Amino acid sequence: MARHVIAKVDELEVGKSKLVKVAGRDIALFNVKGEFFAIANRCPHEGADLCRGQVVGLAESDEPGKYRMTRHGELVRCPWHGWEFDIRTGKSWCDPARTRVKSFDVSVAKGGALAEGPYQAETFPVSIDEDYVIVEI
Amino acid sequence: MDISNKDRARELPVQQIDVFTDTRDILAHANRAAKKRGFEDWLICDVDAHHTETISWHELVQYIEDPVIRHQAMLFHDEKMGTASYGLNGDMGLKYQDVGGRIPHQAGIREKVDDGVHRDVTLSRRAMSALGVDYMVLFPTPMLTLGLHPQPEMEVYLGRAYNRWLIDKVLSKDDRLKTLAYLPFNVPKEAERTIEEFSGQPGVIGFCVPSVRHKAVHHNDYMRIYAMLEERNLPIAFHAAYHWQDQSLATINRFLGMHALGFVWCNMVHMTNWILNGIPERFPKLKSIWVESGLAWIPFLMQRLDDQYLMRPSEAPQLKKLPSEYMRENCWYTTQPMETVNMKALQLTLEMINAESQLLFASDWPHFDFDLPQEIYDLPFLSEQAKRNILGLNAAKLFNLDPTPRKTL
Ligand code: FES
Repeated sequence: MARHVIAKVDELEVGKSKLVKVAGRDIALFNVKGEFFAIANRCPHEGADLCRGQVVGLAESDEPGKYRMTRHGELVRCPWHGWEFDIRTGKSWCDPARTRVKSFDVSVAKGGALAEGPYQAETFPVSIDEDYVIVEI
Repeated sequence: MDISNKDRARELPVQQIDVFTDTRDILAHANRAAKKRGFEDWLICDVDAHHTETISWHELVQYIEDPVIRHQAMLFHDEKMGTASYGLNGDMGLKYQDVGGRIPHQAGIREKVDDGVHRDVTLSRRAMSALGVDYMVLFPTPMLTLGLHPQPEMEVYLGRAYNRWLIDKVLSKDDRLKTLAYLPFNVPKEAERTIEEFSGQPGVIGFCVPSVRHKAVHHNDYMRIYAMLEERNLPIAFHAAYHWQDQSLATINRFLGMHALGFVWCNMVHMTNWILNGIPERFPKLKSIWVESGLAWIPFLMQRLDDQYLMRPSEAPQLKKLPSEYMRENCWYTTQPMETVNMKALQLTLEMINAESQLLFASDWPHFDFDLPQEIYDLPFLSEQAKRNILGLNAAKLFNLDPTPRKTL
C-alpha cells in the first residue's frame, strides 16, 4: 500500500472529476460537495470508462406521481448502459451487495507535511502552503 | 509520511462521453477487452446492429419508386422544418431509450464523419473495429414499427426504398456489412417481389419481417414467401420492437416495462403461431431467426407450449414432435439483450436452445442495452468451441460467409 499525491485541492471544483493513471491503474478523483473520493475507471458491468459518464443525482419517490431529485452530484452513471454508482462508496445503487467498483482511500494533506521525508511528489511541484489530495493504493 | 514515488500519478485527458464523442473513443475499453481476449483470430459476426436510417431520410426518399410519393416525400423534406421523417409511424416523442439523455450513444451520434464514404459506412466500420467484429448485419431503427402503419402501401414504398438505398449507399461500399432486407409483410405479393428482386444483391443474406404487426404469420398468403426463401436457402428473421399503440401493451406506463415486454411479446406471438401451425413441418429447410428479444422468453415458451400440446395435440395436428423441439432445431436466436443477472437461468437457457448450433452473437450497437462479444467469451460454462460457434461460426454457416476473420484489432 503506497500513497500517491494526485491533485492539488484547489484544482478540482465541486462537482468536477479528474482521471489519473497511478500505479498502473486508471483512477478517477471526484470532488463531491467539497469532499474527495476516488474510484477505478472500469465499470464492473462490461468494463466501460465509468468515470466519463455523467455525474447525476438520485430520483426518489415515496408515492405514485411524486418524484424528487436528491443527492445531486453523488452518483456517477456509466456511459455505456447507465448503471449508477455511489461515488462515496463505489457501490452500485441498485445492487450494492454484489456490484461495486473499486474505491480507494483519499486524504488531504498540507504541502508542508508532504515535504518532510525522502520522496518526490508526483507530477507537480509541491509547495509548502498548499493542500494536496493523496490516494492510497 | 511515506509517499511513493515509483509509480507516479499521470493525468489522463478526461472528457465526459457525450453525443459528440467518437465511437472509437466510447468503445475504447471494448477494444482493449477484445485484444486481451485474442479476438484477432476469432470470427465474430454481429447479427444485429443498427443504424439510424432517418438521419439519411432526405436521401432515402429519393429511392422511392412511385413518382408521386417520391415527389411528395422530397418536397416534404425540402420544405418542412423540425418535422419527423416522411411517412413514418413511430410514436414520436415517446422515445425514452436514452433514459432522458443519460445514455449518449443512444441519444444521438454526432461525431465527425468525414472520410468520403456514407456516414453509415464510417460509423459501422468504427464500431466493427472497436468491438472486434468481422461481419455486421445492419438493421434500421424507426422503420421497425412500419408493420403497424395505417397505410399498408407505405410499408411497400419505404421498405423498397430502404433496401435500394442501403445497398447502393452502404452495403456495396463494404462487403463486411450485410442486411436481412426489409420484407413488406403487410402486402404479401410485394414481399414476393422483394425476394425476387433483392436476393443475391450485394450484402443481402436473407430477409427480415419487423415483428410489430397484427398479422398472422401462418396465413395462407405467406406460404409462397416461405417456399421462395426455403428454395433460395435464405433465412427469414423476425426483428422485435415495441409500439405504444399496440393495444395489448397500452397500459404500460414505463419505458422500462415497455422495453422488457414489447421486444419479446411480438416474437412470442409469432413464434406460437409459427410452431402450432406447423410452419417448420411444412418448410423443414426454412431457417427462422428471432432477433432482439433476448433469451429468457424461450425456456418459458418451450415449457408452456409443450405442456399444453401434450394435453391438446389434436389442435396442432401438423406437429410431429414437441413444440420445443422445433424451437431448438429449426429456429435460431440472437443473443442481445442477453439476460445475465441469474447465471444459472442463462446456462439452462443455452442448454435448452442448443446454443452451440442455434445461437448467434448480436451487439445491438449503438442502442442503450448493447452487448460486447466478451459477454459470450467470459461465460464460465461454455466450451471454447461453443463460444466460437456463438460468436461467429454459427452465423457463417447460416449465412454462407467465409469463416476466415477479416478484422484488424
Ligand atoms: S459497462 Fe457500465 S453499465 Fe454496462
